[in-house]
Amino acid sequence: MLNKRFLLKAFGTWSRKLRPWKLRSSGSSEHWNLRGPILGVEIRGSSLFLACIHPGLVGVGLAGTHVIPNFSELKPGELQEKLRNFLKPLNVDDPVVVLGLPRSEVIVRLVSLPLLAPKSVEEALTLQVEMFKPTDTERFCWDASFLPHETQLSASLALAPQQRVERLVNLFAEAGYPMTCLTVSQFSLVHLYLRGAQKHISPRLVLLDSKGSDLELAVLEGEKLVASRAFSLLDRNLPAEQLVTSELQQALSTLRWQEGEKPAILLSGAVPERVEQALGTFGTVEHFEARLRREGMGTEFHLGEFLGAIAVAVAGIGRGRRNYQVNLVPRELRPSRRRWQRLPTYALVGANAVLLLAVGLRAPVQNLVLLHQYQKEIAHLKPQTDEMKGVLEKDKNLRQTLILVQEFEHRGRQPLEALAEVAKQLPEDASLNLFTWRKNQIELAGAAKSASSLLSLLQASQQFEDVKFNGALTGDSSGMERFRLEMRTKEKR
Amino acid sequence: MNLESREKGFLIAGLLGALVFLLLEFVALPQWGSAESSSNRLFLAQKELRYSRELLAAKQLRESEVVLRGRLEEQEHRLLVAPDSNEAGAQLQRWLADHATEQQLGLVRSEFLPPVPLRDNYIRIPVRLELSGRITQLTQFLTGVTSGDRITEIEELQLSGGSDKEKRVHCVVVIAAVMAKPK
Repeated sequence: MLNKRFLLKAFGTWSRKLRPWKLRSSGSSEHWNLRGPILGVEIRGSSLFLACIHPGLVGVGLAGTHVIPNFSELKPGELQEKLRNFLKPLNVDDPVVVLGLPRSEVIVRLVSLPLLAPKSVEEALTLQVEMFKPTDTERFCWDASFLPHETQLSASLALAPQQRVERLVNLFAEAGYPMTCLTVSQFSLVHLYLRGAQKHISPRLVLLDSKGSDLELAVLEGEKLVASRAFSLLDRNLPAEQLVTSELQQALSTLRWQEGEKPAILLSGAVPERVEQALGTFGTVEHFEARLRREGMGTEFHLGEFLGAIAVAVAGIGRGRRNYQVNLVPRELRPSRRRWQRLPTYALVGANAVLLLAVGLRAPVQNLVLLHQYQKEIAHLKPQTDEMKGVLEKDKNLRQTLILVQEFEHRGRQPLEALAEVAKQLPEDASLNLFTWRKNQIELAGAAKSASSLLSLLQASQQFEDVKFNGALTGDSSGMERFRLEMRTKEKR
Repeated sequence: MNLESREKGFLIAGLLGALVFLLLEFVALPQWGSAESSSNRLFLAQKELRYSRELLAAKQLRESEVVLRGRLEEQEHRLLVAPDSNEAGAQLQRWLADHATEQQLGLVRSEFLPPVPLRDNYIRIPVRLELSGRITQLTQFLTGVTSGDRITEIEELQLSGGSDKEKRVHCVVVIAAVMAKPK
């Protein structure tokens, strides 16, 4: 069962649009995080099948696919142009290049070793390479993938002629796209299956990959690769179905499988229908793509022959020698990792962040600095200020006392001023026989020819208010009217 | 203790998180809070500093104090000068009687009233008088008393009569003067 986290929604689309590939697995110990674009290149006959994957917002996206025919006749400049024409519209400048060699160009040996120290394993494998290499005159590049199992270590050893490896490495290096990893296409497919399937791995699996007339066969027991071979339909004059069943029988005959334990058969590429029917006698046949479809992972697109190239690209994610990730490029020929490549970008981003922070903090920090300065100056001036505050307080008290005394004196003259105003307002024929002043309240009593007119006269005065008669007017024998009035002096504001 | 790289990563992330929390909680956030409120405090400090500078620059304050003190002393020369309120009352009564005699007024009765404090520094000394005489003499007496060499206040004034041939007026007046509170 393939894991949903693993495989893409739009696996195999020709579209240039990024498709989410949910490759990031949480909880997996493997390195799944794709940090930059990877160009997977698979050699299929005389053509290069390209697939470019790219980090997306959620997972991994398939940026695009392409085919370069007759690549062996291309000069580095021509290859560069073709690769650039493919990558430029995808906005990919500097991808990690991973090349997948066909199984037929690689010698694969599956060996079991006792669990040893890494150094001893390396020595043991070197010995194995010396034993297995077909000629002593030719030099080989090799790498191995390991699978620890109880007391043993299963190693899948891949050897490729150094001359062939160097030619490919130089071709891509001269084309301006140095190769980071050279793997085996079959291993990449196994890797894709295992890492995608995670915990739902079939106990027995036959993986048949068809590349036109070439077929690659891998047999797995759980995660362990137990048989690997490649053959051509053109090798023997046999019908395709007979040839395939014959090869499969040969492969299975070396394994001690019990009767009735049928393997699951996974087909990749365009396998003829009659071959598929013949394989049905061995076990349940399913297409790799059909399995994706069954898992509901975006199958409206046909992956076709690019599945291998995508598997090669996926094999370039992360490092390690588990899960059939091998690299046949000698260390000295691998492009050095440019650790400081993005340093200027990071430095600029950092500088921008610092500038933004500085702009944001300027006002509060400036205020704080000014505040400290002001507080210092205030503290310095405090003794003199306190003295002056004392002077100011004394000044205020003196003023208040002076005003008090002046008001006292001024109030003392108010009754006389009121008396003078009454005398001024009264007509000639009027006389007073009582004038009382107490707390601004005035009471008058007297006689006049027309006492009623007095009211309006006194009301017209600026000094008095609330003028009213305090009793009825009475006449006397001389014809005068006796009156009694009361009023208030106005408060001066 | 052997830790895997993943566990080491978690441990480092946890320690970094704790460090960041401590820095934020005890350094960055208090400082930021202080910096954020600094604009208000800065405004108040500016105001206080400006006030202090203006205060120090105001030399006329000292001159003003001298002038005010002179004016107050001048006014205080017109207060009653006595060791206590009783003597001050007697002094005021004598002074008023002298003025009444000067104006040929008849002093019918004179009476002390209880002294009243006037703010913190002074005591008000009131005296009630009953006088009789012509209205012109009476007004001259009252004018002389209120604009003379003593600070006085007429608290109450009652004039009555004036209907006889001599036009004599009966007057009841409460006059208060001020003395400095004994220290």
